[in-house]
Amino acid sequence: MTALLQGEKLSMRFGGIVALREVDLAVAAGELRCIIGPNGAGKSTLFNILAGTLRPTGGHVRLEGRELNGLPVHAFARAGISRKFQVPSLFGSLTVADNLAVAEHGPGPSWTTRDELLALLGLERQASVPAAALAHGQKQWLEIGMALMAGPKVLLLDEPTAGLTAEETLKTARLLQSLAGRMAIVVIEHDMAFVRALACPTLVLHQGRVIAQGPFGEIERDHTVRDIYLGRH
Amino acid sequence: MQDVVSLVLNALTLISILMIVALGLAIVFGLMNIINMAHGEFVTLGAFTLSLVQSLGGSYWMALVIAPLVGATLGAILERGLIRFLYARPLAAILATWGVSLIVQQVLQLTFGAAPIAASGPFEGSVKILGASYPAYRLLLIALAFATVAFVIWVMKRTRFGLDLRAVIQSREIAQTLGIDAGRIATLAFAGGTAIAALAGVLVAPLTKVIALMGANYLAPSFFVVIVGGAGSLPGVIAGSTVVGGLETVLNYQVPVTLSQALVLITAVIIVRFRPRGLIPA
Amino acid sequence: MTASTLPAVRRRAGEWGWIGLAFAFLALLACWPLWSDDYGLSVVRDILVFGLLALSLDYLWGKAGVLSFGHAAFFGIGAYSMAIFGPLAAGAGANAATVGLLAGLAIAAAVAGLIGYFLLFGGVRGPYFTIVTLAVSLVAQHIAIGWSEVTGGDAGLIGAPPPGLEIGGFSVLLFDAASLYYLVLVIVTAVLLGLWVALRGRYGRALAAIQDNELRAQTLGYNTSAYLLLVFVISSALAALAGGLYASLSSYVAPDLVGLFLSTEVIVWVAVGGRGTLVGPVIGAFLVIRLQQEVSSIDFKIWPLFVGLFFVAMVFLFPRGLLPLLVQAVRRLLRSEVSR
Repeated sequence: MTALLQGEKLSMRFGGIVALREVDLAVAAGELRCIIGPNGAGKSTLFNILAGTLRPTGGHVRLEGRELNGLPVHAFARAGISRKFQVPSLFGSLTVADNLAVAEHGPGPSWTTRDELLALLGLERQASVPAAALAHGQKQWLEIGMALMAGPKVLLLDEPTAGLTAEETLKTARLLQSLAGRMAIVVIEHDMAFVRALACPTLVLHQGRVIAQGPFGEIERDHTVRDIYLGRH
Repeated sequence: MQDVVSLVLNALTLISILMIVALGLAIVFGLMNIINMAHGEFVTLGAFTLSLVQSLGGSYWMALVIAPLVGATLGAILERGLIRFLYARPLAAILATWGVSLIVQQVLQLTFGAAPIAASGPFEGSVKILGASYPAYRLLLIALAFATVAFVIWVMKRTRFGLDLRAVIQSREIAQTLGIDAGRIATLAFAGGTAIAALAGVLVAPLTKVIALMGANYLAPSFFVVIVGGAGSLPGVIAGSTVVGGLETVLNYQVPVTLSQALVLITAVIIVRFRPRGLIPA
Repeated sequence: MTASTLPAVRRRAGEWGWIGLAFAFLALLACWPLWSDDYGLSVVRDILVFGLLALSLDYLWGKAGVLSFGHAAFFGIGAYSMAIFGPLAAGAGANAATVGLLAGLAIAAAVAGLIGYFLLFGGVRGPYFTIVTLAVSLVAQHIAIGWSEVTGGDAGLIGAPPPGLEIGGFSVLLFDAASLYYLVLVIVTAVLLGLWVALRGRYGRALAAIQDNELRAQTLGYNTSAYLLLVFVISSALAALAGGLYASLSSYVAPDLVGLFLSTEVIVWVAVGGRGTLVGPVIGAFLVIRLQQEVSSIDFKIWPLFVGLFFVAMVFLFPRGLLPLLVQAVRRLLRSEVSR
């Protein structure tokens, strides 16, 4: 099986600090994948490299075998990598519908339209409200919607449930599971309940290294991982 | 040989002027991300202070002490009264300080008239260096400029204020949680920057026409220095001044002044393309 | 369907307010020759040319969020190109001014393209970019004064050709006040309409997105540097169009047409009219130049002082512009009338 998105020996050094050490990652088409790890483990750094906002000091990012290293940010997006930021990052002065329209590039997604997506996200009543006026949970969903409008091959989600209620978190998990298969989805998360609900293959980062990989059930039983989360390391 | 010596000294003079004018600008820019468009007017105010002190019977050396005090006082007022409210709006700060710059220019012009006013150095005459005769005052200017830069580096590296200031430049939030009064540091740093600009005004006044609009001539070149060298970095100011001043001096020997200015602009723009954060970033 | 559509309606109502204002303003200008003498026409015509300059800056600053302190430089490139290349192209007959104009547009676009490429693709944005444009303005001014063999130095140049056109056997040269007036009015209207139409759809939305959050726009696949470069080049060419027109109409250019002070005044026009509203800055030019004449009739030296005070006041009191405040007030008044 050749991977759709492949990170090979990705390393990132900021001055004397090594944020990421030779991390390998391979995501297949349509796969749902979680990345977990304590604060400072290098999750966001890895994401920034995969989305093109950071240039790694070592290693390669490939999409469908094509090298993406060194391309500008917009070229990553054009190649098919969409990203949702950790803090909702919307165009606050544009309306909800315009935010989605801006995100639609070229052919757009083949499986949905802007109006269908608005309905899917439960935002049809807010279509002409400026995005800045949305509630926090709605902003998170709108941002997922924007990433979807680009019709990505890979969807990168950075803590999509940050600040959401338990109910909204479960809804988000169901949404992502329904989307998996259409595209590969990589999620960074802190919230273990959410990752458990996704029940997907999980990669654990700690101090810039991959320390465990496998189905979430196994990961949860892994002693090293538990030690790290309980702070014994 | 003589030609080479005077070329080097001319370059050093221009580099010194740029360095000392840009120094305050770089501190303010690096610290608060505020572009002070009225910075050139503090140079003007320094030059006018020299002229005023001398016309009242005072000496050059007296003005050298008074001008920075004038600059610091007015700078502190500007920071407290205006700039403080604009930290989150950099473009608005540009517009507001540009307004201040126009107001200062016009008030000076309406008060003192448009004609150049008199200002002179502490001594006349030339010194022979390696066979080339060079105006003694310019040597003083070079010495004072480098001494000022050395002093500022000392303050930044070796004093408690410098430590606090560097902490605020790194991260305002973290500095504040450590108990540093970032607002006070900002006012002091801004006043320090405008004091140095006023000092620069005293230094350049004997070499140029002292008029209300003279500040504009220093604004753009010193911004080039900051952009080329790297905002908020003292070594960057030295590097930027050397590149801009050295290039302009050398070009002035080869091509007309207007062309050399355009070439310096183009060079600065090209350097920015490849080193967006300057030659020696903070 | 009812509550949720309200903001959109309101937003559209806001846009209709500006469209109505633009329509009324242009209609008034179109009728102006009915009751004005030739002198009055030439005064309004010149202000309209400056309005075009304000419009070009609004495209850059209002629509793309890039503030330029160098727009007078591009205006000057247009004006000087007309005064230098126009007479050289005397062989082109009635087309001499067209040659001068095209030369100005090409040079302005080339200069903007060069500077813009290095800066924008180098990641220079916001205040940094503004500073470099300020330097461009200063250098342009020095060239206009210093390179006197070509630019005429402080005295300037006379002999820029009048507007005209020659195609095949058809030839027309415009001299009389009314034709010149309508020429300018048609050009300003066309540019206004062109920008408005271009910015209504996808393109305007993309620029709004870039202005709002550039990194986000990049992660959505927008080559934001390329977008901004295109805006900068077109905006500079439009400024040069205004400059070329100005030179051709007055047949004379002088260094104050490239000065930093003119660059500053354009910013005032746009700020008064409301940045991002397109027609606002054109009206802003009218209001401010009218005020300038009043103030200068007391003492011409205090006008720059006025401008300085204006900048400080604007930042604190009306950051979105003066005219938008007025439009808003009128709209509120109308709404309260309707609901009564």
